[in-house]
Amino acid sequence: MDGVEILLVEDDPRDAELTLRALRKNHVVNEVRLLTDGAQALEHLTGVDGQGRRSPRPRLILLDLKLPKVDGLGVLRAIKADPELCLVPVVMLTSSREERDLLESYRLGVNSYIVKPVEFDAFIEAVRQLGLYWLLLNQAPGAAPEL
Amino acid sequence: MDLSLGPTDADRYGVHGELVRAGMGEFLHVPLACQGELLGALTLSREPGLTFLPREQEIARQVADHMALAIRQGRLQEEVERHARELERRVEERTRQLQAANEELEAFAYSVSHDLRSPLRAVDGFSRMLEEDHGEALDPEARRLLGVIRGSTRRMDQLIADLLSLSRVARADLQRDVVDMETQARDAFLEVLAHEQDPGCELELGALPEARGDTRLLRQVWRNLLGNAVKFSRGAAVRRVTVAGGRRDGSCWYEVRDQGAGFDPAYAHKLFGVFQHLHGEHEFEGSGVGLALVRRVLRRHGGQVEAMGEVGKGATFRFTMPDGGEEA
Repeated sequence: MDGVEILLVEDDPRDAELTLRALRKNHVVNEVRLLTDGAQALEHLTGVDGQGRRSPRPRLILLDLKLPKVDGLGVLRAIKADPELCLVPVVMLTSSREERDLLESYRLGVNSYIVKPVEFDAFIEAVRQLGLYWLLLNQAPGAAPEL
Repeated sequence: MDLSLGPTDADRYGVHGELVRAGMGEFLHVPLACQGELLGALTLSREPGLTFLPREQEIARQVADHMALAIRQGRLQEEVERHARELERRVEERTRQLQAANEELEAFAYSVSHDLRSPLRAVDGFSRMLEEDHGEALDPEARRLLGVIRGSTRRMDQLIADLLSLSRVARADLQRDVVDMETQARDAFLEVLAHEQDPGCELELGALPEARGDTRLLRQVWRNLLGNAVKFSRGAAVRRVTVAGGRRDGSCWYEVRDQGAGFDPAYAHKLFGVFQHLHGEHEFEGSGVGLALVRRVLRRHGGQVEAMGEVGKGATFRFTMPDGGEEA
């Protein structure tokens, strides 16, 4: 059984390493799957296995905005348009604080929009709060099916 | 002058020829002229033997003058319309060029916002990882070097953020709110103090006229000017910032005065440029974008800003804006 709980979609390996480290540092022990472009993410989220079953929904999706192939907004649009996936919280984790990205993300139904701080300690803190909120505090409807 | 003429050779052809053949014999040609320019001729004719009387000639001349005037006015009108069309075409063209330039600027700022920050985060993050994972293997000098690296990334991050906010001012659509400048100044001051290590700086706030403009951008003006005043008052004998304002000659003026470090008036013109510092970075931190932003915001509002000061005697920044507070 694929126990992926956090799906991290990030094309920059350095940013990915920082994020993974930040998650580890904050004792987020949930299994994290790293995917490096939007097409991979969609394939993973909507693909079916040999028995025609879809992979279990992650509890949280951390999505970069600028991604190869399908960009973050494209992935977000697809997730929110999919009745199976639309309940999974999606957090934009991005470098851009441009108003139009924010607006578009919220229009598409993003659950959070976090600008990754350049400063490492601030970044760790942001990931800590994010993990705490979305994995512990927040109650999501129809969260990952009980195993 | 007798304008009446008998048929000539030339009259045997063209319209004259036809008139002659139709039985006309007497002709009266009156020039259509306006301001020295010959526009044409008015030709009157009647049967042979009936001459045009002086009174009739006079009437013909008056009619011709009116006609000339009408023709000329018609032509002027056409010309004006042609110019207007040309002007409109040029405005459209310039607007298109301007839009293209704006879009380019926007794309540039967008790219800066996305692409320049990522590597910076890696530099800071990986330096920190080195420190965390291998700190014990590093001697104090190595750790100091890492500190310099991290300090520089923070500074670069701040520079990028400030440049972006500067470009945002240029791109933003301007709101026309009625802005309570007293509230803005007071709140901005409190905001500034909240970031100050030693917040023992006083604000003396006089009555300020309302302004007509973009609340968010004007708040930024106050924040930057008051931020500077507080910053440059550090270590001064009197740490007091005075804010005053009033109306004069259809403008509103506002003033931020401190008794801090001041500046050499010889360099006043450099204050509002981007990345200009009149103080070393070891004395007062800052990216050198704040006043450039102030000037840009005020220019977009049709206003301006000037600076007066003297080394060790404080600085005064005064800005003016068109008075819009009286309007309904």
